[in-house]
Amino acid sequence: MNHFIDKELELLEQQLQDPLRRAVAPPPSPSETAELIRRLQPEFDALKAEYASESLQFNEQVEAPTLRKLLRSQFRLNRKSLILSSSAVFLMLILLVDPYRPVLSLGILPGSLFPVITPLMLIASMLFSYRTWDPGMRSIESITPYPPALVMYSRMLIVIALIVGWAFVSSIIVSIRIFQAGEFVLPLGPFLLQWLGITLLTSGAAMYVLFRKGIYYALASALTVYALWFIYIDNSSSYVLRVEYRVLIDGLLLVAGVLLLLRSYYRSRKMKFEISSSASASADAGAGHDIH
Amino acid sequence: MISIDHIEQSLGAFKLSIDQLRLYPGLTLLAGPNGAGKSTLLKLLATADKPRKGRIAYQNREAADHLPLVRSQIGYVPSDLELYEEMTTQKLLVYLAELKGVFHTEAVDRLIRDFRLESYRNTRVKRLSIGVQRRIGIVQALLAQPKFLFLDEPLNALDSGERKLAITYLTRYALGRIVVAAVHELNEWEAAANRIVWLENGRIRFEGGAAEWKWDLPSKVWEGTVTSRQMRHFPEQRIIFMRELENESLFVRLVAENIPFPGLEEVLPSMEDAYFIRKFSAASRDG
Repeated sequence: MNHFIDKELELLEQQLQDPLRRAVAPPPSPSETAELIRRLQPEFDALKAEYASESLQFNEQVEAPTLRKLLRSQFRLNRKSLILSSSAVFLMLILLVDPYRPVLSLGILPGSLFPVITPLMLIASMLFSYRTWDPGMRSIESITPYPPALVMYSRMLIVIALIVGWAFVSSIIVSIRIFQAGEFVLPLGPFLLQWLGITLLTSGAAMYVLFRKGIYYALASALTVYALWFIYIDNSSSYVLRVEYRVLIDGLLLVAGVLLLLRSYYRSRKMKFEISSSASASADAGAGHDIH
Repeated sequence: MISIDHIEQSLGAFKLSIDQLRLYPGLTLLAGPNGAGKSTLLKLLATADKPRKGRIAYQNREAADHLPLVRSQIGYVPSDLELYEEMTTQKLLVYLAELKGVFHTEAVDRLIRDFRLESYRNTRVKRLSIGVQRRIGIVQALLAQPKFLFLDEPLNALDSGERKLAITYLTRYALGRIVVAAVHELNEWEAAANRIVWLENGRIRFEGGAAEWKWDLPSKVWEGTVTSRQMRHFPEQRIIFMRELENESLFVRLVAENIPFPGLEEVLPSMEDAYFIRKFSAASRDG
């Protein structure tokens, strides 16, 4: 009987030996786990690389950038602040012009407040629109399928268009008021050229420099152009220039401004990276380098 | 895969220098102290800046040669983001979606829903809390469903619910896409992170799987109760945390190669513990 129990116990022991050994075996140590992970890592990497090549294929069809789309979105972005601020200033301009004494109150041509205020307004608007204090937002706006400078170009162009547009409306209203007063007939063409020339030259200079040297240099150059123009106006008022010459000079300023804006447009299409506010790169972006 | 080879970037006295780094689909965390180069690296990855030297290729396409194509697949959340305050949430996102070449509003609607921004849809950004603005900041990066997403401290200013929401979304989003996030607090990403890149002084100190980060450590983590007298001469740099209990005893979590005091138990290190140990070990090594 005892012999039978002994045998049974022996059998039980044999049967339980393996499960018990497994049960009391210590769990893997951190170093063993680390070793296991280290050995498996190449397999993981291979699997990931294989998966990556399947899931990360590029969609080659990137929609081509159009200036029209960008202009539309930039207009929507800035319309309220720009329309409000520029309309307030130009309302003030209209009210400042005395239609009964336009020459006395405005100098050589009626409405010469326009060439004084319009470029300044434009410079201030450009600075505000550039958002120098917010590099994060400019980064986001530059990481798009579009050339990043083109986004900024379209924004500045909208600013220029709004300022010029409002100045144009104000000019028409001023000329109508002067005409109705009956004291003076406003030479609308020379009057428009007078402020449009310097405004476009200022903005053209700013844009030209913006895509080469950054916003601060751009503003400095715009202010320099403006100051030079002021010196010229101040000196030219001491002697009488024929209206034709004045018109010619203002026309040249306008053409130069438009040319600078066009050059800036082509430049902005070539640039690959955002222009930093303190950019100091040389003017060789057209040759394939970028401004940081 | 994103391949980074021999890149260098200088910002004043700081220099970022990476010989080689490969980023795979999944969530990669960039860890390191302030000024380690995390933001600089993210800027380079997001093509917001160009490296002075070296190359970055996205699926074997070099950024410099395929910039519009690469950028169409990149989402970026910078740390210093100030959204346009005058715009409403909806208008801002539609504007940014259009800039990314997305001309339908489905993506905006879906993300507004996913990030629980419905009630702020028509509210101007300036009237929103910083946390909500930060959520919008994350949403804008996802508008074009980018294959490469780079986030610089994405959880900053988010409350605990918002953090959980963002982590859950990003974890799901990282499946089959490359998501890289610079973070300061590692533990909350514990379950989400696939890989860790640890930067210090502009150089990579560790690069590998999240499990490897936690397991392959030069020291162990010990936890338990000790007396204040026992702790008197224990190096402060090795203390992860310490809480006073009654009877002049302390509950401690310490770093040591071997058991520092009887009664302490070895515990599994958290991701933050691993960072602590690695940082301590590197500092000891560097003298």
